[in-house]
Amino acid sequence: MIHRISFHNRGGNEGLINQMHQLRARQFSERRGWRVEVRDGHEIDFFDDMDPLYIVVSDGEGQLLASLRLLPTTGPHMLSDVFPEVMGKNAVIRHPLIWESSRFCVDTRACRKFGEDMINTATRELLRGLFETAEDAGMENIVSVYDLYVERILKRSGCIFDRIGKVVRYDDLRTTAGIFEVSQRVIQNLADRTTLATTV
Amino acid sequence: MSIEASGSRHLISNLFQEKIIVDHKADILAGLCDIGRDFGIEHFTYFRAARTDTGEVETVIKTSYPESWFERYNERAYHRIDPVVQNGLRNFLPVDWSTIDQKEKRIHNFFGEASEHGIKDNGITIPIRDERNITGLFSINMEAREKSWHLFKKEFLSDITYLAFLFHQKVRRGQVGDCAVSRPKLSDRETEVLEWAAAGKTAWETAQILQLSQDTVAFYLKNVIAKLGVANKTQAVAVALAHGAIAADINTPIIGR
Repeated sequence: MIHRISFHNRGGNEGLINQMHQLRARQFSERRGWRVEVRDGHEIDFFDDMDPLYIVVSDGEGQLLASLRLLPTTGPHMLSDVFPEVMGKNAVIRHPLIWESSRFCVDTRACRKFGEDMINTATRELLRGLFETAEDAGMENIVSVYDLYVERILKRSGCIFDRIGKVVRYDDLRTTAGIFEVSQRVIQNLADRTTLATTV
Repeated sequence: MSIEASGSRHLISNLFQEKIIVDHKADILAGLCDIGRDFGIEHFTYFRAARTDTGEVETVIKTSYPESWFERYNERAYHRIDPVVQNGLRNFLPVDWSTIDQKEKRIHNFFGEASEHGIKDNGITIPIRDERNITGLFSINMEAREKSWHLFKKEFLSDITYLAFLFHQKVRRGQVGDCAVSRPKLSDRETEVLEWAAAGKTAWETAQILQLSQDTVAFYLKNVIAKLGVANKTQAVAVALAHGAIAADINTPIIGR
């Protein structure tokens, strides 16, 4: 089940938001060794105070499965304020029809279901939630900073994107940036992939 | 991967930009209303509230709503219950007024009263957020039947979102002491791509010259267009030349390095 959580409906979704900060602490700090700040088992940063929109996948009974965070690139966002090295001599992105996605994570312990293409079903649902929300809002692209491990998953899942940055090492992880197409065809890709994989 | 570099799909933004470029002294709201009429848009409203260094809240309101409604709105401090204002400032998804819950009596009455003052039923509000984290709202208001409203939204939502951003930049630029905005800094790559555009090269040719993919070139152009607050490539070249951000001519390129 896909949830869109922002400042206004946060009140009714505290449980999911808390689980998200805990999942982020486990995934980014413990597992991948990013230098992120964790307090009482919750990873929360500056941009969580910037009124982001969270896309969250749950099992429909209050258990969080996956989440990510969206910010408009016209306002403060990570690519311009935290990771400018990735863009090298290229531009900082500020565009009203481009959002930034960050803090992408999937709880693979909570969701062990995989499609025939070996993509976790929660990953696929999260991406579908992302691109449907962006398409509904009239967005044309999403930008994101990610490590090369995630890039492989994104490629396999049916996202259409190009790298726009170089590969930079952060905390021993090879990191880069990409620009993603927002379109009906991507949403179709994300919806159809399982069927395709079984028929091919 | 397809990246739209020219603002060809952003019809209203394009017209707005052209009008403002031609006439610097033009009243931007009146100019916009002239354009909007051809698209069935009756009213535009821009609202922004920013905290100054001294802690005061400075508001900017530009609206084409009837004065009677504007006065009534201020007198009753309706911004405190207006769901568009309440929703928009800490959110960034566009708000279609027809999706607003009007079950609460005071909200229902608020919309009823707005309608009596000539405000139409359909509207979209676009939240604006800029790099200084100043937030604003930009609304359009019009009369449309359900089906045509749906089509209008599909066709023009991106355009209006872009327009909201252009309008915000124009208002900021018009203010004294905000020079930083009027000269956006272009990156090396952006400058390069724009200089080739100025030299008449297509995105494909530029891609060959710079050994980039055509989509990447289109992407830089798109970013430059937004940074300069213009609507298409031609306008971007004109503005960048005028500001001295790019040089007028480029030496003959060496193709196929």
